[in-house]
Amino acid sequence: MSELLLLLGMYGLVGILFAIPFVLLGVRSIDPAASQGTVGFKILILPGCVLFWPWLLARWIRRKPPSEEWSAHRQGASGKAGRKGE
Amino acid sequence: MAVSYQAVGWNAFKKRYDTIMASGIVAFLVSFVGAGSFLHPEMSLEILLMRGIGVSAFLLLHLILVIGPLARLDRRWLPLLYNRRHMGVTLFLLAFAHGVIATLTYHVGSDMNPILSVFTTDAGARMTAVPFQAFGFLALAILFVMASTSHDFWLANLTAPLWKTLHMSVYLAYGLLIAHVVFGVLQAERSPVYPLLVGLGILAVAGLHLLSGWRGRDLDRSPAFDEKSGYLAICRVDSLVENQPLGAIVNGERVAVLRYEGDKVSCVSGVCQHQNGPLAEGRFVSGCLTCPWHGYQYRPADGTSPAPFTERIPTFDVRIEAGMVWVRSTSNPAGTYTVPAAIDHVRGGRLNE
Repeated sequence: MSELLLLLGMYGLVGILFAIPFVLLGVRSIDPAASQGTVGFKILILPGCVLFWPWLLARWIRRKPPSEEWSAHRQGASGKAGRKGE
Repeated sequence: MAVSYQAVGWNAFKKRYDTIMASGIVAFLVSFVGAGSFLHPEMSLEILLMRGIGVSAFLLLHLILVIGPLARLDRRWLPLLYNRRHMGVTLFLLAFAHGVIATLTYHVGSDMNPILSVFTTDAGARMTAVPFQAFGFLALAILFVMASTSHDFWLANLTAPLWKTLHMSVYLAYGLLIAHVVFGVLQAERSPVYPLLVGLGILAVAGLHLLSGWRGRDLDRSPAFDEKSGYLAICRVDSLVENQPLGAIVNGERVAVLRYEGDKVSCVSGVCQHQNGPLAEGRFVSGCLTCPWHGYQYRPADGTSPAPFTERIPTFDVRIEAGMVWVRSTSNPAGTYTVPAAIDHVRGGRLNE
């Protein structure tokens, strides 16, 4: 149990070290709507950045913008869904 | 709706909403601590405060969980739904304060790590075999994940379906908190009032969800499908009420069929791009189909938000034939303009495309 807590603590520490430069520099490269984000916005997303830092780091490296969201209708429009109403 | 992120998109309604919520919580805490110190003079202020904050968080969670079904059953509850995210973040802050006071009171001062102590040490409850504090800690962790991803930045970057799935874990947190209360504080209480109140809370949450699901069952029935044309018969033309969207299931998901501007009929995906809100339960405002949850708007003919906003949802081809509204089973790409079907008034909507 104490080992697990240590691992979680290390994960959180790395997350904090990552989150600060990410909200200052990285966030605008993965989401255009964040380029003019306010200071308050950057503070609000900090805890989530600590939480999801590996995923955000991967996106920052690839400069990957937000994905187009998936839904049956969006997929249907690209011709992948079945034709019949369910 | 916003084109660049800010901390909170304040408006008069949100300010009023938050003021009422904060005032209600403060009034509850003052009443709880006041009454508690009168009825239990032996209890310290920090214990009373810890319990008061815990109870207020538990009540707020019930309110958060019943707002959705209540709004589906009666539209007058919709204003409460509009700013539910602020309630959720407030719930986390209250739960966090409760956890901090409990940890400082029961788990600081020994050689053991306080977090480790939460999982291994009894905090005064009688049913020590059940780790009720661990239930509370895990619920707090879930509430933290939800609160920290409540901003629209996360909604856009995780995408609405994933964000929604993540936030559905509130029901897991609710279950854990029920266990936390039942195996914790209720074990130390002799009065039947507290278990009764917890039971009523569970009954209200479960009952309202079941009732709203039962009332909405018609919406989830599949319309008749015509293999030859590829269209689904949605409803009779005369059953469409102007400016009031109608929901139906097409390709496993809801669509919103709308009669507007007199004789036009259009159909768009019923899933709002923001939080997947139920567009078929929305209204037609200023030329746009408006989501009942947060007011995101889409033009019915092209499923596009008015400038400068950029949200787009899939559209569907519609035709009117033999007095019926027919919708093509295959959707058009998000933002595609489709010619609205026109109701032929001379023929009473009997045949027209």
